[in-house]
Formats: sequence, C-alpha cells, structure tokens
Amino acid sequence: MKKIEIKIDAAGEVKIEAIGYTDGSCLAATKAIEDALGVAGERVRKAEAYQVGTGEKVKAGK
Amino acid sequence: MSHYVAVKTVFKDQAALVQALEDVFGQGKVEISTDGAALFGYQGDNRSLLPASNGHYAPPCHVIVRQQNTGVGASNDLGWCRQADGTFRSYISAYDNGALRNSLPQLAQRYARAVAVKQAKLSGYTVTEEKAKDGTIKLSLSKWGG
Repeated sequence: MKKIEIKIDAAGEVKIEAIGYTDGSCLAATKAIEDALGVAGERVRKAEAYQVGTGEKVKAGK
Repeated sequence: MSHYVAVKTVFKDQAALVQALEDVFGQGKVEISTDGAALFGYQGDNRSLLPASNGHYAPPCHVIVRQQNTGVGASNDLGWCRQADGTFRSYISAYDNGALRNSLPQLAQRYARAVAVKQAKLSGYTVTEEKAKDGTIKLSLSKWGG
C-alpha cells in the first residue's frame, strides 16, 4: 500500500517519506506538501524505488 | 519510486503560523495586523522607531505576541513580519530567544504539523497522527485506492 509518512521532531525538523511507490509517482505525491512546508533538501531514493510492479529488483546503476 | 526528503520549514502560511502560536501561547494571545503594528520593548519603547542599524530595531509586524502574553517572561514583544516573497521573518530579541528556548522549537513543530495536515487534506489524504515519547509527531497519510 502506498502511503506518506511525515515525521516532525521536537525541534521542528521535518522528514517526509514516501512508502510503497514503485511507479514513479512518489515525487508528485509529496511535492505539494514539501512546497507548503518550505524548502526541500536532497531526495534520497530507497531500494523499492528500483522495483518493478512484481517486486522484482532491477539494477539501479550509478 | 520511493524516497525520503528532509524539508527546511519556512513560515509562509499565516493561518498556520497563528494556529501554531495559539498552540504554544494559548488561544487569544496572538494579534494579527493587516498593515503591520509596532513591537514594543521592555521599557515600552517602540522598536520600529529605532534606527534599522540598532540591534533592537524591528519593523511593524503582521503577527504579534505581546510580551505579557508569552507566559514565560519575555521582555519584548515577539513579531513576524511578512516579506515581499510572502514568507514571514521572525523578530525575537536575543534575550527572548533564550527565555523562549523551550517554546520556539515547539512553535516550528506546531507550524509544520498545521501546514502538513492542511495540505494533506487538500490533497485528499486521510491523516492519522501519533506522538512518540521523544516528542516527535508522526503523520501517516493514505488515500483510498491510492
């Protein structure tokens, strides 16, 4: 299941995580929230970003 | 793909800023001024009349918490002034930054929470909220069929 988790620590630091996206739509899913909050830092892609629909892993390359 | 990203929060949503300030300082403690109102210092001095080069200078601000409404002994009014780009700049004296060292991080957290929940609902997400022992707020966003 696709979902977005937002963690806001006691100092106000925000981390947004897109979970379960394998179709390339996660950037669009979080962008509106990122824009509303402020300035997004560098995105770090997670392993599942390189999976295809069946869960098969493909090589990410460099 | 999936990813995670850290976001540096910028105050730019006035309603969320006011909500966050009310969460921290209490309902009815926040003053809103469309055109900007002066901040006053601990001696009743109008800080907008000081030279801009003076460290205690503050321009008229659009969102204000008066010193007597901070509840923690702030010596000066706290203000947030809307800039040309729509963001809000904080005007909080160095002394009060110390006096409010527990409240100001809480303000950033409450602001980020207010903005995230508002935007999530606008985007059609259902939001569930948890609070961890260390004070971290965790929002889980899901969408039917999404």
